[in-house]
Amino acid sequence: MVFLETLQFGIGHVFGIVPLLLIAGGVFFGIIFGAIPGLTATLAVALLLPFTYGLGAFNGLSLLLGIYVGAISGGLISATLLKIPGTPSSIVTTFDGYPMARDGKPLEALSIGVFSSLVGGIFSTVILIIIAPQLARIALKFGPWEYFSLGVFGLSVVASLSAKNLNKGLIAALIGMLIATVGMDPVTARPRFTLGFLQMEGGFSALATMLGFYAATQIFLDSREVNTVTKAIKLQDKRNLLTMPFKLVKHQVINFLRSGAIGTFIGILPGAGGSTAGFIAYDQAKKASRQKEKFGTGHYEGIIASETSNNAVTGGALVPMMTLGIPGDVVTAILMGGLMIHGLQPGPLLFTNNADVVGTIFVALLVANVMMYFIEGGLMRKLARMIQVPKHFLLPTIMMMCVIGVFSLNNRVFDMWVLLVFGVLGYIFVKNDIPLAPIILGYILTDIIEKNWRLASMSTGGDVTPFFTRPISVVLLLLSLVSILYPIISERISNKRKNNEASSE
Amino acid sequence: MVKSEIGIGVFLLLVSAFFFADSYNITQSTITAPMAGASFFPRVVSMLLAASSLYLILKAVMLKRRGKSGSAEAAAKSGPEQPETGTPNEQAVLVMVVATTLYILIIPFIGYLITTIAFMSATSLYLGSIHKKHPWYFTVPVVIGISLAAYVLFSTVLSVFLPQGILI
Repeated sequence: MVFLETLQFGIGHVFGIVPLLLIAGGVFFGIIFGAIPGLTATLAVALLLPFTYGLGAFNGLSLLLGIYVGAISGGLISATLLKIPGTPSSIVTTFDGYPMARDGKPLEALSIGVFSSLVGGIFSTVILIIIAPQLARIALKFGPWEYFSLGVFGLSVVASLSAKNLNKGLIAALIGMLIATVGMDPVTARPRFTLGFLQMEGGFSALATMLGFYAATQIFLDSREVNTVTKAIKLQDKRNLLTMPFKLVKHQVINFLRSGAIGTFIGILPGAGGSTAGFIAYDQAKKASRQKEKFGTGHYEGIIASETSNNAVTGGALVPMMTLGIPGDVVTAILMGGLMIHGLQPGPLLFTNNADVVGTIFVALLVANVMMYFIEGGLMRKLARMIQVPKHFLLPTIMMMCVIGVFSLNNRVFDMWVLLVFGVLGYIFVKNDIPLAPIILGYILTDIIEKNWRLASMSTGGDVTPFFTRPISVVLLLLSLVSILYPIISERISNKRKNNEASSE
Repeated sequence: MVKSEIGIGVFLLLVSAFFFADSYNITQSTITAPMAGASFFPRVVSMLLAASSLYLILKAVMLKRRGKSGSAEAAAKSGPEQPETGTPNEQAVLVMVVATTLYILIIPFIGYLITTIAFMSATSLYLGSIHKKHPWYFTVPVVIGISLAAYVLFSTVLSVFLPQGILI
């Protein structure tokens, strides 16, 4: 019954004119950001985060979730029409979406993609609604040992997955952790590394850090390439996108379910995001298909697998963020920031203390997915033209929004400088293959890791054995070790194989 | 590439050295166990970062030594990674960084509107000039429109604090 009450709260908060308009606006904005190559879902959510402060928790979250859902789906437009994934998670859509569009069926490709996005999004939201409250109940029993190990696990997966070079992934995570230690410490509130400046006692604010490394860096990277224009495939016939896919996708129920399940599961795991889900779902769909040879040549089953799974990541990724306060990827880390600026602490207590917020997230996510289908499908011709918005207007506008957004949240000039310095640092890091995702996750997770380490040590007087004797904690720590060692071992094995091949030749 | 990796490694080594050294300046409370203190965690992280940076430097130096004999091979390897469409314009990055620096520097004194229009006009004209898409008498009004629209949106709909100077 508690469950129904939660949803009732959500319906009450979401079904009003203002929140519905905000979700629709968010979805629209998100689709555009997702569709324009170079602008990502992460950037879209981060950019609007400071401006949701004045909207209040419920409306602000509705807007942010709308942007998230829209942006992940919007990537398919440019993946199909330009062969460039608009947002990293739609890489796999280019495999079949673009060939299909090139062969004269762009509308079919887009409509299948949009419909699959809807199915994936709804599927994962339903799973989220079912399992999140259960997981939160289990998480209530977690002590500092479990939280510490969870934080370490999340960070180790991100560090080892996001870079080709493990050392660089680790470096990135450690940089993020050090950035987070500046300012008041989380347990005894001692100022650390402030160099005597009062302004530094608040530390580097989450928003300035995230916008710096994600948005400002992205603008610097994009500004190098304002002169490259790729030709898009034009949409000529005027058929209705919304009703088209039903004939095409009738016999694909299993593909939808499988891809949705893969996406949701990958979303729940920390570190792996939409593109990983897309690759795995695509692979599985190909294995199971009767028309394997058609994959990669413009086959609709491939589009379904990719778009269902990458949109299913959205609901999955919210599971650990909402129930444990551990974001699995950068977008949810930023969404978590969105909860926190409204004074809400994600974690199991959110489900008992703020059932109305939880319900709002559930309902807003469902509504956002439905709206995404109608907005993206209905306005596709306009959206397809928008992906070629001139970058020389776009990039300065985004930079301006970053600067103003960062300033507006705390009214601190200092935060604007943090944005700029981290933006430049991020640019240098990216050029040297140091990934940015572990920096953000390291920054966000340090609070959880350090606080729980210290609380645990205090409660046992410095005895660390509980970390290794409590079952959940030790399993998580072992998994972290595996995720760090896995790339090293697999590299060794593949090197050996290469050497063997070379010597046998 | 290798050279800048060594540079980054040295920079990060210095950063971790600073954090390690400065962690001794944190005032410790006496009640807590040493492992639960405020300086323990940053000290561990800075040591790990120092170790990783050293590894980065060593690897880059080794690669550089090997690279002298097999540089042709390395060049062939890095070849296909370069995108074929146009050459990335590094100068644009510098212009954006300088423009943003000036923007942040001036905005607390002059205020949002004038500074934003100036910043956006300068950067839009510069970025637009690279492929000469629009003439200035098109770009500038568009930019003023965007700045005004953002101003209205920020201050009325979203009730955002804007930097205020002597001119709005």
